[in-house]
Formats: sequence, C-alpha cells, structure tokens
Amino acid sequence: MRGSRGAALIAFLGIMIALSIMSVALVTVLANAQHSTSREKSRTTAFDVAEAAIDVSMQLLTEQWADAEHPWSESTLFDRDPGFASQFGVQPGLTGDNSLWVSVFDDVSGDILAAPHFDDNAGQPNGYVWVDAQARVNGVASRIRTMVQRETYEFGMAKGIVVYAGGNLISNAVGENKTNIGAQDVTVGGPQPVSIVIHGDISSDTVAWPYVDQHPPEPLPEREELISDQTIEDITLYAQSTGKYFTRQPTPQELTGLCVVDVPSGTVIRLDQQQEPYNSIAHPGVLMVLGGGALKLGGNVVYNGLVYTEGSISVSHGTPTIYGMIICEGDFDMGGVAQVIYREDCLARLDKQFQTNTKLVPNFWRELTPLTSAP
Amino acid sequence: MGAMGRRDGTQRGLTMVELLVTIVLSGLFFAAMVPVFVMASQQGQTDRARVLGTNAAQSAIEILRDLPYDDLYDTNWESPGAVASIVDPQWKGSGSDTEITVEPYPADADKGRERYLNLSVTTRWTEWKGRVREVTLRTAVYRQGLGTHTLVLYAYPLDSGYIRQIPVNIVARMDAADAYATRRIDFEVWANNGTVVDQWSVYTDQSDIERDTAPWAEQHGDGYWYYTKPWTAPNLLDGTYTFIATARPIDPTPADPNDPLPPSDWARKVYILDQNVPAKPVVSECKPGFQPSSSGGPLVPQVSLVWTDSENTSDVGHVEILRSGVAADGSLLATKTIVLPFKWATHYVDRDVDVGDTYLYKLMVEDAQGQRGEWSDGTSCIVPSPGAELAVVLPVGSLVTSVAAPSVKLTWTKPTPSTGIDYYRVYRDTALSVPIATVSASLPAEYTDTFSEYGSTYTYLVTAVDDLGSILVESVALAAAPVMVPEPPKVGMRVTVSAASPLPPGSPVPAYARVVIQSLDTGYFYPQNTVDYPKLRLGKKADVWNTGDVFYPGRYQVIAMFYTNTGRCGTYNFPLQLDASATPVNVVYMGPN
Repeated sequence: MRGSRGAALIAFLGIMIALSIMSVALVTVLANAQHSTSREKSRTTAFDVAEAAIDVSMQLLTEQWADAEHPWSESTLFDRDPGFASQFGVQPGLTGDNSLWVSVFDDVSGDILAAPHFDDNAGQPNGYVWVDAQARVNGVASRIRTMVQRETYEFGMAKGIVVYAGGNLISNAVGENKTNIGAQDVTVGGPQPVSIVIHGDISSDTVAWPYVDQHPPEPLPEREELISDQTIEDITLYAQSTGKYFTRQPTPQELTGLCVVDVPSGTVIRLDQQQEPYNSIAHPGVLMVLGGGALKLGGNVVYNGLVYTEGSISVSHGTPTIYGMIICEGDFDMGGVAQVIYREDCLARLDKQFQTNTKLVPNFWRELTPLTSAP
Repeated sequence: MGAMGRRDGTQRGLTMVELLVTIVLSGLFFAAMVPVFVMASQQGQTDRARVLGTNAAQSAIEILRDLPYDDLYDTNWESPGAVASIVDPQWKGSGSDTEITVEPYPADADKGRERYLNLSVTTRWTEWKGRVREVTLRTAVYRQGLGTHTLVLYAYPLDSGYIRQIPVNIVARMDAADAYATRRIDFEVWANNGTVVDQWSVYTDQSDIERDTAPWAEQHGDGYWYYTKPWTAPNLLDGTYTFIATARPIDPTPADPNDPLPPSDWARKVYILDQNVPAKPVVSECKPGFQPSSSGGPLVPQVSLVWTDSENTSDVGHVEILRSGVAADGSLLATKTIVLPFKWATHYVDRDVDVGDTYLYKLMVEDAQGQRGEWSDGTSCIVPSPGAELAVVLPVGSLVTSVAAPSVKLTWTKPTPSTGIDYYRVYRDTALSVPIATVSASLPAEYTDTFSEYGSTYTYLVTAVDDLGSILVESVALAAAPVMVPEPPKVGMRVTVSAASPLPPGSPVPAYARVVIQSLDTGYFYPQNTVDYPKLRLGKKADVWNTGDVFYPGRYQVIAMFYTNTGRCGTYNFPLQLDASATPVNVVYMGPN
C-alpha cells in the first residue's frame, strides 16, 4: 500500500503530459491544415493570375510582337497595361509576397532563360517565343511557361498584276514624260512580265509599258479574284482593332502601315504630303479607301505596298510612285508622270507584315517550379 | 513510531484526495480541451469546404477558358442554367453558390473590339452556424484570332491561274497549331456544272500521318503543315474547276471516323485546267475554186480549206495556217503565215492564190493560254485554169439582218434558179476569208450568229456555192448593211438562302450550301459568281447574296445545292428571266430531292 502512494498523481501527470502533447499536436495539425488550405487557395489564385498574365501578354504581343526593335522586358506588361497589376493585387517583381513576373524568351534550344527577350532565332525570326509568367500570392508562387506563335494575315494576292482598274485607265502625260507602268524585279534574271487589267478603256498611248502585257487572256479577272470581299472585311476589322481605321483624311503618319479610310463618295483623300517614302519594300503597307471616296496622288510621294480604292484614283501633280500594286474599282487617271512599278518582293512580304493574332502552340504549356531569383 | 504513526494516520486518505484532485484537474483540462476539439472539427470542415470551393472555382475557370471566346462573351452568366452547365456537379454548394462574371477589359473603349475578358468565378457556401464563406478566383482570357481562315489552298506549279502541268501539286497549308487540332482535311474538286469530279481526304493526326499519308504531310519548320497531293486531273476535260479543302476538327470525336464532322475551316480556289494542248487538226477538204469579181473582171481563184474542229474547243485562241508551195514556173513560193480572225473557224478561203501554182497547207490550233497544238499533216492542191465549163452561180437575192441580242439572225432569199447550188457561205468579214458557217441549200435560207458580242458592229455577207467535185464555183457576195449589237445595261440578282424550320422528319440537315448561276442562253456557268454558305444558319435569318450588276439581261438559272458534311442532300433549280425588274430568288431548303 505504501508502495502505491502517489501513483495516482504520477498517473495524472503522465496523462496530463500525454494529453498536452496530443493537444499541441492537434493544434499543430490544425494550424498546418489551415495553412495548407490557405496556401492551396493562394497557389490556385496565383496560378490564375499567371494564366491571366500569359493571356494578356499574348494580347500585347499581338499589338506589338517582340522583335529586335521591340524586345520584351520584365516591365513591358506593366508599362503597356498599367492597370493589370492592381487589378489582380500584385506588384511587378519576382520575389514579393504578392508579385508578378512575366518574361519572353526566344525559342532557342538549350537554356531558355538565357535566350534573348525577343523573337531572334539567330537573326532569322521565326514567329515563335516562350512566355514565362510567375505570380506570387501571399507568398505562394505558381509559374507557367508556354510557347506562342505569331499569326499574320494572309492576303493571298494574285501575282503578276500591276494595275487593276474597274473603269478606264487614263493618262495625259506628254512628250518623253510618259506615265510609267511596269515591273521591277530584284531577282536574278531581270524583270518578269506582268499584266494590267483594265475593264474600261485605255484612253491614251502616253503610257510607257516596260514588261507589261496589256492584254491578259480573256475573260479579264474580276476584282474579287485579286482581292476578295473577305480580305477587305478582314483588313477593315484589323484596322479597327489597331486604331488605323479612319473616316477622315489621315495624317501622313497615319497613312503608313495598314490604313483603311472609309469616307463617303465624293470625298477626296490625298496622298501627297510626305517627302520620306511611305513604308518600305521590306515593310510594305496597305492603303484602302472604302466607301467610294477618291484617292488623289501627288507630289513626289513614294508608296510601297498595295493601294486599293472602291472609287477612283487620280494624280494631281508631281511624280508619285507606287511600288507594288494598285487595285482601283473606278477610273485610274494617271495624269502627270506618275509611276506604278510592280515589285513582287514587296507584295510577297505583305503576308508576313500584319499580325492578327498570337496563338498558343499546343503541347508546349508547362507548369514549372517557381523561380526564387531573377534568371 | 508515534510520529510515524501520525504520518501514517494523516497519509491515510491521501490517495483518495489525490484521486479527487486528479479527477478535478482532469475534468478541468478536458473541459478546456473540448472547445479545442470542437474548433478543430469546425476548422477541418471549413478547410475541406474551402478546398472544395477553390477546386470547383478553378474547375469552372478551366471549362470557361476552353469555351469559344464569343460564346464566353455572349452567354448570360446570370442565368442559373448557364452556370449549372459549367460548375462541377459534385460541388455541394447550395443556393446561389456560384457566381460567374465575364466582362471586357475596361480600357478598350477606343478599340473596335475588346482586348481580352476579365473572368471571375466565385463559389459560395454556408457553414453550419449560418456563416457564409466564399472563394473568388480571377483570371483574364485573350481572344485568339480574328476569325480568319488559317487553312490555305493552292496549287503549284501554277501559271496565272491555269493548271497546265500534270500532275499538279494541290496543297492545303495549315498553321501547325490548328493542324494539331484537326483530324482530317477533305478535298473536293468541282466542275462548273456543280458536280464533284474528284475528292480525297488526308488525316492529320500524327499516327495517321505516319501510317497512311506520310508522303502527303510535311512540316517545313515555318510553322505550317503542308498536305500535298500530286493531282492528275483524272479523266477531266479542260475547263474551270473549283477546289475546296475542308478541315474537320478532332473534337467532337465520333466513334466512326467517317461520321460527319462540322467543318472548322475551309478554303476555296478556282483554277482553269488547261492540261491538253489543242488537238491536231485534220483537213478534210482542200479544193480550188473561182468566184466572179464584183467589179466584173476575170474570175478570182481561191483555195477552200475545211478542217475538223479541235477536240479542245473550250479554250481555242486562234487557228494558224502555214502556207508554202511551188509556183507554176517551178520556183518555191515564200512561206506565209495566216492567223485567222475568227477563233472558232473551221473554214478558210485563201484568195491570195494564182492559177497554176501548187499550195501546201498546214494548220495548227493555239489555245487561249498560248499553248500551241501539233501541226496538221500537209495538204496540197493545184489551182487550175478556169475552164469554159464553169457555170455562173447567181448571188442570193436579198440579205436581211435582225438583232436579237446578243445574237444576229440573217435571212436571205435563194437565187432563182438555184439549180446546182450546194450550200451557202456566211461571212462576217469583207475580206471573205473565213466563212463563219455554211448552210446547206436544202435547209431554210437563214442563219443565227451566236458568236456575236455586245457592242460590236458586223458586216455579214452571203454567197452561194456550187461544188463541182474537184472545183468550187462561188457566187458574188451579197453584203448586208453593217449591224451593231447594242450592249444593254447589266443587271444583278439577289439570292437568299435559308432552310425550313422545322425540316420534314428524317431530312438530313445541310451544313452548307452552294449557289451557282448558269446562263440558259449560252449555257455558260459563272464560276466567279459561285457563292458558298459555309455556316448556313438553319431556320434563322436567311443568307443574302447580291451579285452586283454583272449579268446581261436574259434567261438564267440559279442552282442551289445543299450539303451535309458527307455529301449533297438537295439541289434546287430556279430559272428566271433576268432584267432590271427581276424579283429576288428565295431558296429554301425543304429536304432532300
């Protein structure tokens, strides 16, 4: 009996200690579970923010592709879309508790994180880049990388036609200053013969025709075969989405690149006010005058690319030169000494000129281990 | 001992006290622990609910991301039904447990379309004490593409729209990204009369490419897949053909790969097949003859040539005659090339000949695209001196023209007597070199020139011919007054295409329609005026096609063809007299016919 004195206390203390340990363990488990739930929610939130960053980056890449002249930096997204970070409650950066980091890398093999921040491909841009986004919410990070592809509008232009006119071709040039319609080819072998398609009359012999077949096989192609209604609609949509759709006389700067002017019949749009060439052979443009408005060329303007009008085209003064192609549904009055020179290399580049979209490349989407420091 | 005894005495009952103290303390401790366990239980439930809510929201976001952009934008997400179609049915939230908001990015007011959509999903649940908890996840979704086609169809080598070299490579090019989402591409070749003259398919998924179609599919490293078939134009005549490529998506995936799949993209090109050079002409007649001079001089010698029409008459450019020969004195005549002004000519009267000379003729047909056929075998004849036996053939009595645009009808009176006359020659050029027709003397004395064109002025002449066997005798030509074929103002037509709703039971549902217009006056189909309706909106607003003023007034036929994804399911013909007051043609698909 004497030997069992205090045993209850000892037992009590033992039970107390065991229960205390269990309680601590339970609280710890609870805390961990709550922390895990919280982390899981934060990770999911971060994942969605990173996906949003990928999508918004694709939109920004559509507006301006990451090329050598416009490389992507870690601040690009936030500079070009200042509201994005606050919208998702994150700050630019890689390591902050609530942060977002987005970068673009060339699609080279090897160490992607060491690649240039633009579509380089060893100096031969191929239209592919990686987009890497990491979002951190409440200290929990999620990182996604995917390859995206640049998609450009395919004009599908008919080749070999320098001038199309649904109406008449008129020229009143005199003497040796003949209006000039011809071909210029930079490829080996010299210029290739091209055609003009005039549905009306060719009302003057004051046009010089180097390398031009004035009489392509009948029936003459219709405008739809050269540039389809769908193409015109697409180009208009593209111009609207890029701020290049005007219902007034655009400024010379606005007339560069892809420009659509939609004005009522009777309105005259002038292309005569710039000393520097509009566009270039390497980066040709498209000028479309819709709605029946007339286009008036003049001065010493040089335009590289495609000119399309639903109305007429006339030349008021000077020696304007078009390198590329003219499609005119009305009369084409080439007064003065205007020149239209077919450049296939210029027109061929139209197909890679105007980006309409940035697409995910299937099977390249990856969720990666978050970065802890800048690459 | 006494102390010990007291100690022993006082220690009695201590175990009971210790036990009571222990019980009390334990009770207090356990009492204190109860809220901990309750809280733990509650927290466990809350955590579980939060995880489930987060997962449900994330699942909804993933589903929403996969929706077509326009569907995502256009759907009314305040509709419980729309939300229920998205949310995981295992999600046990109750009441208004899920909320989806889709709104365009706010900074896009100055753009023609939104840049991207802000997407938010909130899952909400009620805890046992009535406390409402929620999880909100937000992301952004970018619209990929303007809706433009990425499938491009073309042929090479190609010469300004003409396929001349067989086999020609028919190529469908597709963005790699879309190719991965495409199961197969169907190719069709249409003749101008609306019949499918050739078709093939290429499967695009990797296993099929490796198994079946490897020679056809290749990736050039430029971001595109190319599906190429060397096409041999099997048994096809020259003419205009429409090539169509239709991409079929991977999803939805029917069990049978031949089941219909809605087209995800399509492309169309019209090419002129010009593989055949014009056939070698066969000269059936090379006969000397004479005609009195209209001025009363000596008889004018001639050599008449007749040959068979080229088998490839759809695109004849002109007929060329190469003439050589030997003069009466034995010297060689200079070679002469004669290009006939009338491309459909099968007759030629060479009046630049002399009596006593021998002439050798060869003919060749060149098509409208500059392809020159084979020269005919040489045919020769000697122009004899006119003998006294040549009878005089009287000219026709009168010649009257009447214009029934675009044709010109000629009527003449036969000479009296007309004995010996075998046929009449109709010329359209005053040089009397190319008879556009010969009319047998046994037939009515009339001819309708269907080769005339609007806006042109023609002078018609008619002669009578007596065929003596080895020599011809032709009368003096009688000319009609020049006649002009006036050009009427062109007119257009308006075609609407729709489908009845509901369709008769069992009717196949067309996926798209094609409209072709044919002139019933000339039989000509207008390939450039073929319109496809790839997304026929069944039972909804009709598709409208205004052709524009491109047709001359006349009799036409609108042919509307309806197709499922596996073939034609109906054809409707609508003949009409087209003029400026013609009423629109309304085509309504009412089921197969």
